[in-house]
Amino acid sequence: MRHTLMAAVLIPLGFGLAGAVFAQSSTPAYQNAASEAQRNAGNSQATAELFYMIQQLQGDVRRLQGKVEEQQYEIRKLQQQGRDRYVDLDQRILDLSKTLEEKASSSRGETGSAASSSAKPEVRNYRSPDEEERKTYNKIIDLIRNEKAYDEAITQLYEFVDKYPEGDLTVNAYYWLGEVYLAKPQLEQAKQAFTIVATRYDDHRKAADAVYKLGVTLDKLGEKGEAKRRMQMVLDHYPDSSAADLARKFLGEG
Amino acid sequence: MHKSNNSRHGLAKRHLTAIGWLLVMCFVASSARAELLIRITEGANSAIPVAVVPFAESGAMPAGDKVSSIVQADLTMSGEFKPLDPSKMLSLPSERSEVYFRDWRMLGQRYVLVGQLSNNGGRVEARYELFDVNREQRILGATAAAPSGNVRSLAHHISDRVYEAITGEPGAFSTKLAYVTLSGTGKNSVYRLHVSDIDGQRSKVRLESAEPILSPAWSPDGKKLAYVSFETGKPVIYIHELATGKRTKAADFPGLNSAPAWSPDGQSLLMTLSKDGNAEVYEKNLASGKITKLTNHWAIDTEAAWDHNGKGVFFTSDRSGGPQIYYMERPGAEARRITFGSRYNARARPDSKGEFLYYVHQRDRSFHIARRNLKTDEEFIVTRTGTDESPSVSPNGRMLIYANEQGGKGVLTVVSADGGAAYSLPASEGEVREPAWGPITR
Repeated sequence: MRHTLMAAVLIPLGFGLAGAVFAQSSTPAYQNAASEAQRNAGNSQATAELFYMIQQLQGDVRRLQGKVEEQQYEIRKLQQQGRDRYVDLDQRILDLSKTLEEKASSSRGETGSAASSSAKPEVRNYRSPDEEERKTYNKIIDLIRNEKAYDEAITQLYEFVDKYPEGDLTVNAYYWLGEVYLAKPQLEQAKQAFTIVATRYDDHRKAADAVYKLGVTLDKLGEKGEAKRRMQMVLDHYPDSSAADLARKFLGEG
Repeated sequence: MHKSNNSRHGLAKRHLTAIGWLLVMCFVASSARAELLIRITEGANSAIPVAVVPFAESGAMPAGDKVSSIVQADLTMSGEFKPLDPSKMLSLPSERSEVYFRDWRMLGQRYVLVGQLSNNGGRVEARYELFDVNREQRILGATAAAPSGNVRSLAHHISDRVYEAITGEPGAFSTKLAYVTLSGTGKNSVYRLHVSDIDGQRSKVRLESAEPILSPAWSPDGKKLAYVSFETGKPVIYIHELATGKRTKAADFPGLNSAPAWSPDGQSLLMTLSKDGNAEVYEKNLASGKITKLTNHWAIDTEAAWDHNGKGVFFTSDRSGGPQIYYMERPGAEARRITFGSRYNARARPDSKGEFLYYVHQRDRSFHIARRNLKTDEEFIVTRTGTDESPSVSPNGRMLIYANEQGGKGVLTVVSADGGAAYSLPASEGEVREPAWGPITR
């Protein structure tokens, strides 16, 4: 395409020039040899000029080609950045709407319970597991701790929380889901799992650990400020837990 | 004032470490017969501590370098290991029963290599074992043998195995380098094409000429070199069989015959020819002799190299003003520009995995070797010297050799691919340039 364009520009130019030269030297053919030499000189001058013009044009085409290539590259980069930003924004909106929902549901829960009890976060009674539930749970923990079969464990943990919802061990299962994702590491998923324990079951005995691990996950994700906030939360809400010691250490190091 | 003081201090410190390395390496430098001397200029900080215990010997051993010293030098050279000085070792075990892991742990060592050498009727046999100190496990145990005149090959082989056992990547210590030296000036200049070990030892002159020799390129089987020689007064591409010394002309057209590069299957040669008036990239099928034109542009197209799987071609073109690197997905396809952000990017060399591309890159006034991640498009300046050219990647992709100037003289420098460690190979006299790292041959 570029070549044909260039040829289209060059050919008329060339003819034009040659035409001009011919016009200049349009002396009758019967004139002497001197005019012949003159014509040749004129011709070679025209060729030189043509050559010079082509060189100039080539230089221009080069420069333009460079510009086009650089702009293509910039555009590609911008498109990529645009996509990345969209994904990032989408994720943030998703997170926000999730926290909003959680806030709404927990405040509903609070207003409901506030009528019956005093101020402090209420300690729910979690359904204690039956024998089979406990056995399944132990098997999964064995998968994680001894066999390190993380992918299998993830599948079974999801099945577990499906089959035994809202139990004491359900919370543990969510927590372990976070641990496994953290070990893999699939940090986004780990963050989600720990967030579930930290917000939905903030009175459960695993909650302190979950908030701490959430901090660790956020730290690994590069969200240092958020990570520190979670660590402080452990200290504020669960000051006597072992997680609080770890959080203190984290903040001390940070 | 303060600033310049600081940098001078830094420089002095760098010199000191260089001298330290020199001492460590003096046994290598001591055999000055070789054309190239080795000088380790920088060690990586993340180097893995490993103890190479001097091998026990039974029977007469050939004089000269010890096998374990060569292994130690190899590992140091890679920049990825920090071998322990044998004088600091608490014991010198030569087999498992003598290895006390507690001692090696105390010395901060991650791995211990022990071994025994015996002389068996003119052949040196080595039995060697590598231990992981933390896990207290043997991770490698093998035997190897070589004629007693060839202990260097034996040692490089052991280095390869140790390197692979620890890093998971094949070692490149048994591979070869090709390079061109220049001695004398003007009418007395002599160009020599050498092939040597990667530490510069055992170099052999393969071609000597009063006219320039350029662009040596290894065939994938490591048996042949293609290069450009001006011995007939004009550039001609030759293929040189190393075992026999037999030479054949691969391209002798009017005008330019330059920049040969082998295809990964060794069946064809990429080259730059100007037989049709302008420098373009061509492919020559070596069996049939058929020549195909791959590029067609009035700008200069040159310095072609196949990508890692032999499907696409990288080349340098000045079609956008200055030299930039372009890529064709297959020969003859539309060329896509790869390099941006500098007026000068040239002589691309891909690694063997298709992950990174190395090339000469101009930044401000100086020339460096840059590495571009072909997936993420990230560019990283590998070299710290400023007159760098002719990059060539080691076959395992871990190291890079290039030519640069030191004190106004051409030397070769080897760096790890992440820029961490470096050693240079100056010629004992004259200059050295145009390095080409040979393939791994088994």
